[in-house]
Amino acid sequence: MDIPVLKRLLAANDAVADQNARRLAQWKIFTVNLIGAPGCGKTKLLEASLERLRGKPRAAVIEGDIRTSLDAERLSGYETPVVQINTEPFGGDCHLEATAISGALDMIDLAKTDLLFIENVGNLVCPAEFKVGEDAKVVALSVTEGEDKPLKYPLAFRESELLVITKIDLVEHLEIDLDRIEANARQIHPAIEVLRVSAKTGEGIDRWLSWVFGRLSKKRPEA
Amino acid sequence: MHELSLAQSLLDIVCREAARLSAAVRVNAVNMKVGRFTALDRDALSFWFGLLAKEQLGTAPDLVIEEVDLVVKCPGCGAQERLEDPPIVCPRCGNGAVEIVSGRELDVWSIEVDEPTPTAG
Ligand SMILES: Nc1nc2c(ncn2[C@@H]2O[C@H](COP(=O)(O)OP(=O)(O)OP(=O)(O)O)[C@@H](O)[C@H]2O)c(=O)[nH]1
Ligand SMILES: [Mg+2]
Ligand SMILES: [Zn+2]
Repeated sequence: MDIPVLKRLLAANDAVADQNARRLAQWKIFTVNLIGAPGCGKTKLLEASLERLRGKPRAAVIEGDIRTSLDAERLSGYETPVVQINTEPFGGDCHLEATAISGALDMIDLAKTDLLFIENVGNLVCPAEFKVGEDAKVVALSVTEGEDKPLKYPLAFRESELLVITKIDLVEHLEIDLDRIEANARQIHPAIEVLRVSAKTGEGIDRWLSWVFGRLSKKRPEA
Repeated sequence: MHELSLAQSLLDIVCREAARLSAAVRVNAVNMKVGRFTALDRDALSFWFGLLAKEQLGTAPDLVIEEVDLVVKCPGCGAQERLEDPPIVCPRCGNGAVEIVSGRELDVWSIEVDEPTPTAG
């Protein structure tokens, strides 16, 4: 006897993600879910961003890692609240789930926050499948990873509104064609926006922050 | 990889649905529909599901995973087509603003249980 079930496996996660999104919407906080492979430069991008923001607008960061609070330590000292989540107690998960973000939101003064950056666990596959309550997923891909990555890991590029190509100061040492990275990303997601940055030299960081501000002002047109 | 936690979610859903039918019902198979464009390691899910089910139910139902094609719909020309590979654009007119109609599923479709025997109870 076949009994219909018709349930989405991720329904429980998505319900909590929607709760998070409603909570963040209440305070009109623009939230980025930053994903990318281990070491692609997510934390460094946030360091460069917080360095420029210096509290205006008021940012907060949730750092996801399997273990250690090293990334949160790197981001301390920018007048920005940073909450570290380690997924190890939840089984060493390869991605952040909505319940972990819900707990982290309790530790942030949302009334005093305009922008929330969530740095996901370094991984180009799994985080793409899990909503956590963000306004936008942003995928970071460093120039050392190769042009073919959008084709090999399509979901992250399909789910992200913006591709940030990182570490462009290294291009001269490599054989990499940035136009091909962009073209490959557009094969998967023709409407994806693309920015090229170096957190080391600061090149492109202003454009990345303009993108963030643009999205923030869409979320609070009166401000 | 998150297939272990997905396997536990799957088992939770299966147990809840089975319990709604009757306390002692035996689940023989679980049918899932998984899109071609869903990030899932099917073998890993089957492996963990089998292991957890043995541990928690004492028996492992068959896990049958049906693959769902990636189908896009074009708001420009109205085409609705299956895609085998990237690019994810309308195969008729090349429009990139296509909507994904199917291919992102990760669904528990149905469970197969023993027929209730009139003499039971
Ligand atoms: N040359 C150069 N190096 C960079 C740049 N951005 C990051 N790096 C270096 O790349 C390494 C990894 O950077 P992280 O910012 O830790 O990368 P991540 O993505 O946060 O790594 P995980 O959180 O572990 O996944 C560090 O040694 C950084 O200094 C850049 O723009 N240029
Ligand atoms: Mg990091
Ligand atoms: Zn078309």
